[in-house]
Amino acid sequence: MSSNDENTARIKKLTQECVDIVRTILVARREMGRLHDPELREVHLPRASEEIGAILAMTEAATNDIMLAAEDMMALDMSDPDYAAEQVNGACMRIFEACSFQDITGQRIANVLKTLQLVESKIGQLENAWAGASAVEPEVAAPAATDSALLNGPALEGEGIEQDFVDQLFA
Amino acid sequence: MAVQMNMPILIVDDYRTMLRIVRNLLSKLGFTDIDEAADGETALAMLKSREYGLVISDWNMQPMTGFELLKVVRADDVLKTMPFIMVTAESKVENVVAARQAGVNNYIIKPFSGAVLKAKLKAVLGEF
Repeated sequence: MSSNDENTARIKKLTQECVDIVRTILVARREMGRLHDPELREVHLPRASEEIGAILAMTEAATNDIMLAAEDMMALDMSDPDYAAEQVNGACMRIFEACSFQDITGQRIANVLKTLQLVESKIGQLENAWAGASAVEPEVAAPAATDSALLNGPALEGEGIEQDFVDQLFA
Repeated sequence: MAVQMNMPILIVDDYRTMLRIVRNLLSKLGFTDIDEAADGETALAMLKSREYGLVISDWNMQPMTGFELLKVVRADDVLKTMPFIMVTAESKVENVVAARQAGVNNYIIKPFSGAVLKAKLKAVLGEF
């Protein structure tokens, strides 16, 4: 093979590689366009951030309530055993009530996890798009239960209703 | 009729901490016979094997939610008059309305105090 033929073959190979790269970029751009999800950025991520804020606030409040109850017990005058016993009982009940934060923060963390799974799914789809994969992974499926629309978990401040309002409905 | 403080009560919640809290609050109020279930399905099996005087259930559980449990209980010829209190963090109006329409006797929003639980028990069971 002459030197000219070798150069022509190299140029053809390079040209083909350039065409392939451009094709991959175009496919990836198209796939990424399909993955554009305003709801994730405008709804799910801000909500997850607010849920974490609510978790921090609730754990702080619960810790404070538990410590206050413990301090009240430590400061008790034991010279009147009946009164002291009553106060200890009351403080223990306040501690129990405060411990309900574990349930509610658990539900909030579950909501944050759902958002993280959504983000994970999107990242997987992006990886596929960059790899030139033609098939994009399906979205995380929503729960199939018929009453799932009623499963929202704990409301954020200002979202839900108060117990007084519920009491009016049951009066 | 006076409330029997030894009547069996079933509390249903998938968080063990919450089961302990409700159990302790009920004990403090004087109730002595308290059973626990971690989900609606287990609760339903227990309700069919023992005569309970009251169910206190969370809403958000898997595989059977407290709301589904409520609907099954109300559709059951034997269990349909069972006093049923929902204790849940679900605090949207539509949840309360749906539970009311499904036949719940009362609805408590978490977090709640012992005083609130006592008031709702009185509203459902009568004075004790």
